[in-house]
Amino acid sequence: MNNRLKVLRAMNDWSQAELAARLDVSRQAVNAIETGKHDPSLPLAFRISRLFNLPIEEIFDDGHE
Amino acid sequence: MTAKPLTKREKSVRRHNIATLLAFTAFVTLVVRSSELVSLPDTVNFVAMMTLFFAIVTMFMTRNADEYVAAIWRAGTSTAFILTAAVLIFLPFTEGFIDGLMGIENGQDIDASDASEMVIIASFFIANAWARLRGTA
Repeated sequence: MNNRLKVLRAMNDWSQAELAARLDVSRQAVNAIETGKHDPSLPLAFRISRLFNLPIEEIFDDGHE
Repeated sequence: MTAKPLTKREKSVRRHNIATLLAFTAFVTLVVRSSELVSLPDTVNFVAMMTLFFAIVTMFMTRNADEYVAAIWRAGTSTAFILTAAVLIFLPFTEGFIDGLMGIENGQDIDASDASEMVIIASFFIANAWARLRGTA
């Protein structure tokens, strides 16, 4: 699944570690999500959505219209 | 520049990753020793066994440290489970089938329960490494 997490993180000038601390996950988890190696759980996707104040579908793209 | 102290979650994830590395190293040591490629003393065998045991316990205790670690753990354990079941069920069946086909009547030569020990741990590490490199999605 594609996502804009890296772009959104860069826009806020946060490191992976800072974003991980804000989301209460490990830095490895943030890295894995950014590189598309791991799809976040629904609760984590909601936390990401709330943190960036964006709807989930504007952050994650599952390839379906 | 001072490094920020690690969060409890980060420490737990780090413990899990170090334990995985230690367990893998101990497993490789045991495989090398059992293959008799290199002559290693009994002490090495004992240390490797103890390291493998405590590292696996640590991995189990920290398996839910983070959702990514949990996903990697699940990838390893589910692969180990299905391969172990396959070995325990299909290895004796395959041996019997081949023996029957070739008319060999020397009973069971391959002990599936012996083979499964290696299969469980090896398949866990392969799936674990695969999930880390290629992803859990």
